[in-house]
Parts: sequence; structure tokens; C-alpha cells
Amino acid sequence: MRSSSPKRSSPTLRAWLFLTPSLLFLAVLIAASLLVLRMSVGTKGAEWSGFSLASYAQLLQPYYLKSLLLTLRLALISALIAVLLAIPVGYTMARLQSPLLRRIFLAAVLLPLLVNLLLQSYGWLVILGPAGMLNQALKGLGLITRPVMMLYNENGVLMGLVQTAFPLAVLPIASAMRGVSRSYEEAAATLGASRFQVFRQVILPMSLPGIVTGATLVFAYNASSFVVPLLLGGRRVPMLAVMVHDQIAPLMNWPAASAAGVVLIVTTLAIMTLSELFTGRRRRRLEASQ
Amino acid sequence: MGQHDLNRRQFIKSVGVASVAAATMSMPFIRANASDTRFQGKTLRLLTWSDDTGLAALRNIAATFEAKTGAKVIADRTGSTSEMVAKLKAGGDRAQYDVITLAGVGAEGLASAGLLEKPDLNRIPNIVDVPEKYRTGANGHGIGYLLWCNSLVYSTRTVKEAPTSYAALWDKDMAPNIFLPPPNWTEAMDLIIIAAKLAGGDEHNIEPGFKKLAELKDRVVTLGENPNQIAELFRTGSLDMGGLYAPAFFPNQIRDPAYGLGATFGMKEGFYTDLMQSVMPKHRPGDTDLAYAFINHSLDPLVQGKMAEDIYNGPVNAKAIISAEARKSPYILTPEQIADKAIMHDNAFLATVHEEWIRRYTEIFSS
Repeated sequence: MRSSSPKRSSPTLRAWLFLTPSLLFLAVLIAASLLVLRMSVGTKGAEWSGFSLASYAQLLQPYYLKSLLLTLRLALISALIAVLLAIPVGYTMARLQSPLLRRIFLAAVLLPLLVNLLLQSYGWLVILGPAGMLNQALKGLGLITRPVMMLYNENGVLMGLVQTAFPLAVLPIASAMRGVSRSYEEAAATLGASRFQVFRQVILPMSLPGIVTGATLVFAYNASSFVVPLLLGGRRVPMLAVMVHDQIAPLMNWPAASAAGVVLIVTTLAIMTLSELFTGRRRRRLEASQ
Repeated sequence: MGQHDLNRRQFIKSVGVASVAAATMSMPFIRANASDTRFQGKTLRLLTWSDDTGLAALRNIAATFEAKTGAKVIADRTGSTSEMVAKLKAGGDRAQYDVITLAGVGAEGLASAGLLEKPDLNRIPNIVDVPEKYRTGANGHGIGYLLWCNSLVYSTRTVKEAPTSYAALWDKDMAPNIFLPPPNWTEAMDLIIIAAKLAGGDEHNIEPGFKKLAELKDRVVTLGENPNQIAELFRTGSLDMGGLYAPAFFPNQIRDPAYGLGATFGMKEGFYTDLMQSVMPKHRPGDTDLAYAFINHSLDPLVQGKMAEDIYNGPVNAKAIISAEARKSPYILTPEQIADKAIMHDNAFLATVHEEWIRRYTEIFSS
């Protein structure tokens, strides 16, 4: 006679139990997004009971369209610049032999993610602000008498966007480049390719999925940026997140703020989907060729 | 533990007692012994700002009220008026506060959402000394508390004499680099009206105002969302003038000569004010008589004078007591100056144009 043993739960049940905490967390996030969606079709003062598409219609006004375009433009340019700067850094990280050096490099790249966004923006003020180090140096050299304004405009905001999102570009690019086997480089070199040719014709194309992922992350992160345009733009660079803030305070127009948020989410998701389609196709082709 | 060691609770208790004692000693008009024992041991929950104005309210109003009545004031200091509104709205029918002090626009928002009780003015004896126009706001749901007074701010290094008209903002030679209030602030709405008046229009004929404002675009360094940043720009010589902006934003920097920061209410056109209000949410957790007593205390002539001197807010009580020394300061407003020069904007009218004006103002100054 076999001794009785406790019943074992099925693998499916265990998988669900394992997933439950994450699913609950995701459910809260999804519920919050759905509430924002519901508010966006409400009316001012009757956010939960009213129904109107007026908030969406309002977003078609040139004022909001300009803000949306400005947001997308700055997010796109910042993604391009961040990726261009991240490629050499990612390549270096991928090819570093010393684990210690690799860790130091990684820590340096991750620093912006570890430091509060507000502090980073204040850091830019310390460097480029009217009383910043650069202006002090120019004054000291006798080149200027009054501070040069390098902030409180689109360029200042762009600089902040690139810097704060830089790690998001570096990490996927470095990871993708680390995945490119050295044997490809050696094969290309054996066939007479110069170092530059190897980089341009072998490494870059094979790392493209990582590059696109990096660009997409920076784009999505910066499209919803609020602190950087607020502090470094001096309220003169009206990105959409700042407009959302205006709708809440002082206008207390929650439906309009929610509608702007929904449009921002949908636009960003659409661009990320396009990028995923492109990256996915490229990845499959690379896998097939390997 | 040695006999000189303090545990955490003792330490907090000592600091609390010392704070109240210090506040009371600085206000000799408040007797240390509670004069009104009805409220002994009761608790009032107050929601106020997190900035210097909120801190001053704790020092000059809450602490002295505690000393006078023996009641305990538990204060929650929240960032801004809109955050207070969001907090109360989130609470719904279960308000956590007995009294809230906030800007006019917030009081209007809460009143229109049906979250406020209309106070009975007969239960606030000090209100008889408050001029009619400052007594109530938000359709009778708010009690006038203090006036948020906006000035022209200028660099004492580059602007030799305090401006006497808002036209100074348009004087390129006098002030090459200026700042203006951000679009979402009521100060921006007042500035639009000022520009319109300077250009021959008014709030109901606003087009000339926007045209005149557009003339400033190239000289605007920033739309000052952050008062500390503005003070820093003055300190470093990056700004010459700006406004409308309340000196109450940076009382410490104004007192510090390193900033070279001056502010004036002496414009011939007058100065704009916003009526800050005390409101009582419906379904309060505490005692109603205590809430009325607190609001009444905040209108006490001495308390009002102390707030004006401490934080550069305008007193609403026409009998507010301002010391002879304080009367010499250009930043401390007396009841007489308020009666003579204060302009109160029409919140109800501004609510109808607010959104459109914010949009146009933002468009003008976008880089």
C-alpha cells in the first residue's frame, strides 16, 4: 500500500499563483488608465457621469496641435541625438574585456537614472544657467558682461531631454552589440574590410534592433516629459505634459487633461508599434541569416 | 540611559512646547494661559500651504490660537491650492479637515463642486472690521483671510528708482531683461488686463492688451514658475524687472542684500490682489464652534498685522495693527494702502475667459 502524500498542485495553477502579484499590479495600472479614459469623455464638473467628446475636439485646435507636434518633434530629435551618442558608448561597453572597467562604465551610464530628475535639471542650471559655470568662465575671460541665456528655450530643453534619457539608449544598444559574435568581425577583417567598414557594414546592421529599441525608449520617455521642459524651458516651451498640468491647475478641467493624456499615450504607442514592427522584421531576418 | 538623555517623545514634546512658547513670546498680545476654556483639549484639523505663507500661518495663527484656547491644531501643509482642491475632492463626503485656507480660485472650485458649507457670518465677530468686498468669496462659501498682493519686482542694482507705473515693463532702457508670471497663474490674467488698460482697452476689450504684451516677447527671459529661480536670476544679474509677482514669494531673499531684490506696490495704476479665503468643508471631522473660533482668530487685528509684517500678505481687517517700524517698509501693506490702491480682480469674470487667455498668453511667449 502506498503512503498518502499531499496533493500536488498542477503546473498551470502554480504558474498562475506565481503571476498573481504581477497581474494585480498590472491590473491597478490598467484600471488607472481606464479611469483616465473615462474622464476624458466626461464633462468639466461631471467627470464620471457626463459624456462628451468636446475635450477631444478641443485638441484639434491649432494651439494643442502645435503643442503635440512640438512634443513629438523634441522627443524624436532627442531620440536621434541620444542614439548617435549612445552608439560609441554602447560599442565600447560591449567590447571592454575587463569586468571592472565594464562595471565602472555601466555605473557612469546609469548615473542619470539614479539621480532625481529634478536634481539633474538643477544640475543643468548650475552648468548652463545665468550664474552657471560656463557663464562665469565667459565672464572671467572678459568675453561677456551679462550672462548668455543658454536655457529657457527649445535648445535648453532638448539638451536636458537627451541627457536624462541617455541610459535608456545606451543599455539596449550595448546589449545588442554584445550579442554580435566577434567571429563576424574577424571574418570581415579577413576579407579585407577596414575597422570602420566592419563597424558600419557588420556591427551596426546587426545591432539595429537594439538601436531602434533604444531610440523608441528615449522617444516614449521624453514624449511625456514634464520636469525638464518646466525647469529648463522657463515655461516657454509648451510640451504637451505641461499643457496637461495647466488644464488641471488652475483650470481644473480634468476631462481636457485626460484627453490630452490619452492622445499622448495613443500617439506614443502608435510610434512604438511601428518601431516594433520594423525591429521585429529585422530581427527575424537576422535570426534567419544566422 | 543617563538622566540628561532625551528619548524621541520627550524631544518632540520639548520642541513643540518651545515652538508654541516662542510664538507666544513673539506675540505678547496672546496670553499664555488659555482664556477661552470651551475648546480645551479639542482638535482642529487645518489644511494650508506648504510655502512660507503656510509656515507663517502656523506661527502666527495656529500657535497663538492653541495658546489662547487650549485647543490643538493639527496642520497638514500641502503644496498648492490645486493640490488642496484635489485632496478635498478625493475625500468626497468624508472631509479630513475642519478649515482650509486657500486661494480664491480653489475656493470657487470647491464651492462649485458642492463640497463647502456656507459659513454664518454672525458667528465671526471680527468680520465687522473687514470691508464688505473682502468679507466673503466663492459665492459666500469662503471667508476673506488675507490678500495676496502682487507687485513689480526689480533689481536694486540696475533699476535705480522703484517704478511708479506698469509702463516700466515696456521701457527697454530701464529694464532690458524681464520676467513675467507663467500663463496658468492669475497674475498673468491681471497682467493681460494691465496691458489692455495701458493700450486703451480693458478686460472687456482685451485685444489691445495681447498686442501690447507681444511687444515684450524678445525681452522675456522666463515665465517665472519657480520663485527661488527668479530670485537667483536677480542675484546673478540676469533680470532687471518683472511681475506681477508677490514679494510674499521671497521674503527672505528680499531681506538679503546679496540678491539686490526690490519690490514695489507704488504703481499709480494700483496693485492687484487675490482674496485668499478660509473655507469649511461639509461633513467636517471636528467641532463647528472651534472652526468658527479659528476663522475669527485669523481675522484678529493683531494676528492680521503680524501676518502682514511677517509674510507681506495684505491684511483684510481694516483695523489690522501694523507696527510703526513696519509701516516704513515698502513691502508691508497697511489697511490704508489697501483701501487706497488695491484692485481685486473679478474671479467670476476671469473664470469665463481664463482658458482662452492662458492659451493666447502661452502662444505669445512660446520660444
